[in-house]
Amino acid sequence: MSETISRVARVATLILEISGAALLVAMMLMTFADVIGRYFFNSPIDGAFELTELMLATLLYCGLPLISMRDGHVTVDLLEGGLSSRTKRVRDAIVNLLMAGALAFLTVKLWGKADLSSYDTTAILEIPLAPLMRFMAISCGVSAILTLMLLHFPHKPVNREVVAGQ
Amino acid sequence: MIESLIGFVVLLALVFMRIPIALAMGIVGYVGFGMFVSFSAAGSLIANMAYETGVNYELSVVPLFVLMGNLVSRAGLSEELYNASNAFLGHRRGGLAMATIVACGGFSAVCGSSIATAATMSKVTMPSMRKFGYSDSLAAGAIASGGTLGILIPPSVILVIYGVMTESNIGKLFIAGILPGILGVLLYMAAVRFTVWRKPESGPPGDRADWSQRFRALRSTWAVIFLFILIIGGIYGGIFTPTEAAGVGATGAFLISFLRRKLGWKDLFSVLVETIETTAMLFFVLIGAQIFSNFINYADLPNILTDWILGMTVSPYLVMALILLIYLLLGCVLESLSMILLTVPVFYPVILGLDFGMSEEMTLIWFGIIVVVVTEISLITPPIGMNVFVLKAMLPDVSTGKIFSGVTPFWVADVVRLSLLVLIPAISLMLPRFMN
Repeated sequence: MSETISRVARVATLILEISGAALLVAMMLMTFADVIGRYFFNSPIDGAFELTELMLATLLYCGLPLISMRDGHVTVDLLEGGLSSRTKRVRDAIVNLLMAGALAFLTVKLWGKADLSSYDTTAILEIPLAPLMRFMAISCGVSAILTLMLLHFPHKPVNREVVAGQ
Repeated sequence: MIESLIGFVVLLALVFMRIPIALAMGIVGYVGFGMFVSFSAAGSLIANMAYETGVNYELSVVPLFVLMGNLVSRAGLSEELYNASNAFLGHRRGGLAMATIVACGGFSAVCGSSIATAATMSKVTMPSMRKFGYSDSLAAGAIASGGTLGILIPPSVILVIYGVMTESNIGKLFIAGILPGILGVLLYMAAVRFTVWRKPESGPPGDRADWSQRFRALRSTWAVIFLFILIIGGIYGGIFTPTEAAGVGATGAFLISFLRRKLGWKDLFSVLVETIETTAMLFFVLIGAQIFSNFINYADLPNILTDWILGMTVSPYLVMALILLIYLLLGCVLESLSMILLTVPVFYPVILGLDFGMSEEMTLIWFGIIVVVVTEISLITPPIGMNVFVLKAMLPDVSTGKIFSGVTPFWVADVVRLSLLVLIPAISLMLPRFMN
């Protein structure tokens, strides 16, 4: 049972990582091509602005399950020294439950927002926005489940050297 | 007013219980907004913030600059910068530490993160300083402090976020960071001189390079110079928006590291995933902060505070001094991004309400630079200076206390710099004034 779960988690992670990486590269190359096109060939990419926005949003919500799974949210670890490992475990469980609850709530709210936005599109390329909102909702839902799984499965924390790009 | 203060207190309590900052801000913002307006409105608010923060064109510069920083960290640029500055300074007493500072400044010109700058530079400079018998506290102190320049010298992730929050021109904010960054390098070098004047054995002189070696070392830094001129020249000349500059810069960094064979496919993939994770962490803190500041604004804290301060008819500089004092204190306990996200929405209307004899636009740019310098200070202030922790992680055998003691002269140099920047706004505003 737990073997199947961990295999599913591994595959899902890889899919998210690959899609996120591809989006990031696409975003970089598109911006570059847009600039080159505009200055050297006088033909910018139509709607590059909008595409960048949509890609950014998708990228973020590819990343959310990844950081949820790796306990990667930014925290303040000021008062860690004085706690026993048992207290810490209980505290972490409460924090994870709270986080999962908040993510589940966000799932419902984003899904509801998508229902209200069935006719909304971007201005130039007229790309419908509801699917993006549904993707965000699904990502939050998956993250909620992964956060609950942290209660049971050990995790490897992400590399904190690069915390928050400061 | 009282509601917002309660909100702040509850928020700090939650954060110290190690609830993720994004979640704590989101909960307090949601509950506060719900109590003020209605919980159904609060529900739509969080959905809107979670969506709109994602589809924000200006913020798309963040993942691109983070990517560029992660790429250049692996492209060997840090070694070239250090070798070049070392060729000019290394033979002096404390010269290797001064070279470290200059190299950190140079690296900051292609990397928007202080933590990444300190981590990258420590790999190159620490072994060299140890080889020449530098004291660990001077060496680690110089790297931790020099690294803080990452968020001031453009590009800078923190300045992008400040620009989005205050609706300031991000390009002008970037340009405004250049001279204060150079001032920072000079004052840090003075701090090194002071340290070796007090304790000559902490920084013995290194090898002397002749002029042909110096020029060769200088020429090898072309990649950094090229990237910096491309990005900052492009922004200054109005050729690129900051997002375009970030896209071009990231592509450039990608090509440089690929052509140098510093980056295999596997490394590239891990750089990309690292960038996505860092971006996601950053943005969820930002989303939480947006929810929280909607509550604070609804409770009218910024306006009440501004009216109250303007009613007292005190010198604007006294108010500024008080605000900076609050920042220095908060910097001791809060992580720096959250500190900026929580305080800027409250303080910037106050600053705009005061008369510093500048246009609103310039006042905000000036305040942005000052906020970033205060944040730099918080990165090396005990007990949770992030840059000191980075050094500690790189050098497990050196005690945290030793690093903090090495940092002290640099901390003093930072306070001097902060005072200069407050008293002489022209240091920040001279360059952006010339932009169209």
